[in-house]
Amino acid sequence: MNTNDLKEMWKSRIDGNIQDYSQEELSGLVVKSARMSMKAIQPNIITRLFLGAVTVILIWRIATEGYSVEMDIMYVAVLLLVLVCCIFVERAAYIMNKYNPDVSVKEWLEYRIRQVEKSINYRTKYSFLMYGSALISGCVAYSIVQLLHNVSFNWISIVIFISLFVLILVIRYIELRQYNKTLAELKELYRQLEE
Amino acid sequence: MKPVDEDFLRMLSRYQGIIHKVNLIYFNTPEDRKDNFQEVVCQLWKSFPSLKDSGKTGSWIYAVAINVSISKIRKDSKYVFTDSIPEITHTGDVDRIERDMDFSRLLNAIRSFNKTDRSIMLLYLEEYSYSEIAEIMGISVSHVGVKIHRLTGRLQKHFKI
Repeated sequence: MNTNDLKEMWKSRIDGNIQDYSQEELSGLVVKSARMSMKAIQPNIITRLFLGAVTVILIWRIATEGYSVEMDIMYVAVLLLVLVCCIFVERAAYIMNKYNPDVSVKEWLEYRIRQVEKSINYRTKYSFLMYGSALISGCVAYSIVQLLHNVSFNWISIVIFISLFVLILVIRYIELRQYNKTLAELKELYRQLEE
Repeated sequence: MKPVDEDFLRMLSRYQGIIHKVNLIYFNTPEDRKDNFQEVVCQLWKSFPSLKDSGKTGSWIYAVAINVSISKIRKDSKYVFTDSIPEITHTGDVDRIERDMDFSRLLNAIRSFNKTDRSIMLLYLEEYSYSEIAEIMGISVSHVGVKIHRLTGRLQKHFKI
């Protein structure tokens, strides 16, 4: 069987093996795409939801509860820190959504490999710093609240914070493992394209 | 519907076969193909305003569809083909049955290639020139020639068995 026979075989049978969508179905897909393109890829969706919830709670507490000036100042400081984090997370999402796959396959693979490598390097370098700072800030804020409310020290709080730290380490390990697996698969695809 | 939506819908209606063909070589269940179709349409919608050369719409759609499909790296990369090919109805026409079986074998053989080679073979069977394939894949024309020579050799060997 020569290559012309293969082409003929393909051309004569392929249309019978695919089923086109109707105009109504395509129209539904286009409407859904317009909606989906508003959200597109959502990196760190859990982080964004968490930051959103924390922001709302802090604003509500500042606005409604009659705390002392020191407490209000502390809540405002925490709120500012959370808002700065929100800005960085949204900036990361914006950068990720900018690139479209309407480029050659090789260029797309190169872009994806670069992005995943950047994410791995960033997480490896800064994750301890980020999570450690977040945990310490949380401990400090919590301790200040306890002091301002004249609540005595308790070991349960320490256990909770240590457990949170361990949980963060586990999540970081799973996340990095997934990133490395994705990177290996992308590099393998690239190698196959090049050979 | 806005004018840009109508233009996009018209284009999609005309070229949807491309997305279906890419789905056929990459995904083995109707649900996966449907999901991927939606995702491809979403990416096409996002980059539609930047489509300047309407003469290369087919190539543009192939590039997006292939990139979206290969980005979906799945754990179950070992495909079970026999479940995914449409059933052949035996009408008594021996020639037609043989041609259907040959097509199934061709499709199975293409799916046994790695992810990037599948696209190259699909584009070749769809009568795209070596330079068009090179542009879509981002490799040189000579490299396309080498790959197609190797892949068609494998296909021919497959049919000799």
